[in-house]
Amino acid sequence: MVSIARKNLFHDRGRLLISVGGVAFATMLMMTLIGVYYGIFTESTMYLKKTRADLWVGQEGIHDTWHTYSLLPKGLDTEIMQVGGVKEVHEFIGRAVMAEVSKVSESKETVFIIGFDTSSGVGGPWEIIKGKKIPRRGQVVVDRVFAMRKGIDIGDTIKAGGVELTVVGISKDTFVLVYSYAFVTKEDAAEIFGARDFLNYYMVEVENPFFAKKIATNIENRLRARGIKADVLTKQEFIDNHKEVIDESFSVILLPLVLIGFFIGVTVIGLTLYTATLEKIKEYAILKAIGAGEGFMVRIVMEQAFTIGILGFLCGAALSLAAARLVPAVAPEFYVEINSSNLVVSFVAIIAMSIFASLVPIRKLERVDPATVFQA
Amino acid sequence: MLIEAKGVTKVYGSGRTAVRAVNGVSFSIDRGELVLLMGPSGSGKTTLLTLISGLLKPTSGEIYIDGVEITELSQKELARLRLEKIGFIFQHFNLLSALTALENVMMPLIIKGVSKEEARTRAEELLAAFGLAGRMHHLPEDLSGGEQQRVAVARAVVTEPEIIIADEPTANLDSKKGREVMELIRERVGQGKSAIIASHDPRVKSFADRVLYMEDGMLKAPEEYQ
Repeated sequence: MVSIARKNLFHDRGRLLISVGGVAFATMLMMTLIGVYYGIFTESTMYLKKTRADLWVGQEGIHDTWHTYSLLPKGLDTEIMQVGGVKEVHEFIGRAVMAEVSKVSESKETVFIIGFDTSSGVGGPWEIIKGKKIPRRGQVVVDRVFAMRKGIDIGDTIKAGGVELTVVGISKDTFVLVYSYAFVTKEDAAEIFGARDFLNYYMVEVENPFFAKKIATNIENRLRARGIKADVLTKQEFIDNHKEVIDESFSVILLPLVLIGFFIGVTVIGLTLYTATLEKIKEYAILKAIGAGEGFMVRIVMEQAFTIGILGFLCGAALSLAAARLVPAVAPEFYVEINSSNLVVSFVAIIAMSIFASLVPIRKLERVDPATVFQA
Repeated sequence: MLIEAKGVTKVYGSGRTAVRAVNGVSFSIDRGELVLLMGPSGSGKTTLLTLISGLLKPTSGEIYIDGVEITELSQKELARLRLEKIGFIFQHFNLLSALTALENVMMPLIIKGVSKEEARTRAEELLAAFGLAGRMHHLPEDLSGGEQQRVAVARAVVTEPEIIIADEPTANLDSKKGREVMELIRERVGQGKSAIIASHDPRVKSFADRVLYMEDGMLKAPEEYQ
């Protein structure tokens, strides 16, 4: 087909360039924000995904590690081990505390101290970029973002809960949006928290994860029979609970920004189409006069809208991919995740933008009076 | 009869400000006939062409195109009727500025649903026959007035319509170019089509089989026409 839509659009390349640029900007804004959103999910649940625990045993009614601290008495591991299908039980002691960096005066920052069983390594860091993975008493492995922000390195010290800890390792992907994980021995953690008889969770490995849900119920029942009220969650349930916390906290901030990006896109495409339609209004009247029906006219506007939208999307996606690489270099606490889901959501948004943006120009074309072709 | 108008009236506005642009006009045009519609500015010629084209509904009266009463048709049916039966030629050429001469001529065929390949072949043949073989890939802005009007004539006849409606087709052309355009229209009429042409241009008279005179919205006898 002789594409009058594209011919008209490409006839004014300056305007087309501005429109595509505007849509690309809107796309980049949306994709980057959605990418930050996905990135927060990924980073925040990375610890749970990487830790070798099929079940998390916590205090009844407490379903994540962020809101309220779960407290359980020590020594339940032998009880849990009695349940059929349980392979290993590990202790998890962790909570957020204020840490002082001795190298930087007056510098305090919240870190999430995790005390883990250094003999099995379960619950500890999984990837180290510098130093060693397993700390001893009086030692700590800190996160890369924390180390960069505070300018600390191996051999420096931090102080948490009155306990001085020497940095022996720097871990990767252990940053959770507002604070980072710091890994110590479970003995040091108990000293920092002043809770020698309690811990926060038991991490359970099972023989066959297929039966994890059934084993969880059995653990709950066994502990309840001993007078301990506990909830046992599968790894996925525990991850989902953390995602829900993030969703509650950040969707209210990010969603309006994504919507702003969407409306910028609609406005840019809409204005371009509207001005292009007005400029060629006489020519649309000619088309109507020679017999073009409403469908033909609608297709012209839609084709123009989709052309701008798709070109803008391609440019915006390329810019977003570049931003995903650049942002962590400038702000290491942010991880922009451009995944297939992000691309699909953004593409659907662009299609929606194009449709919305076409409505007013289509209405304008419907009203074009073909009789005006006889006017001078 | 290919075109028949019976007591056609078009009133713009209402009450004291009402204007009768066309007032009780009746006429008919047969196949193979070229009719010239003459009259001063404001006499209602263009309004009458607009009514015959189905682009405007008359206030009263009936208009038949090839036996079909068009005042009762829907907008969609009227668009189809124009596409199938009528070719338009305008004073200001009215070509689509972003399209080449060839694409302009292809456009009615494309709207009609003809394949791109066939539309291209037919448009190329027609433009070549009109002496525009070397100009078909140019945009309208790169063509002279005479060339633009020949492209417009090609666009009007490419679908082989039975009726050609032209409004001042020679007004913006010199006498030579005007004659060339009229010859092209006359040739089509010779092939069994009909044409109605509104014009001030006395040179067009020699191409007409019949002249209708219009004044104050009404058709006049030649002897009454001032």
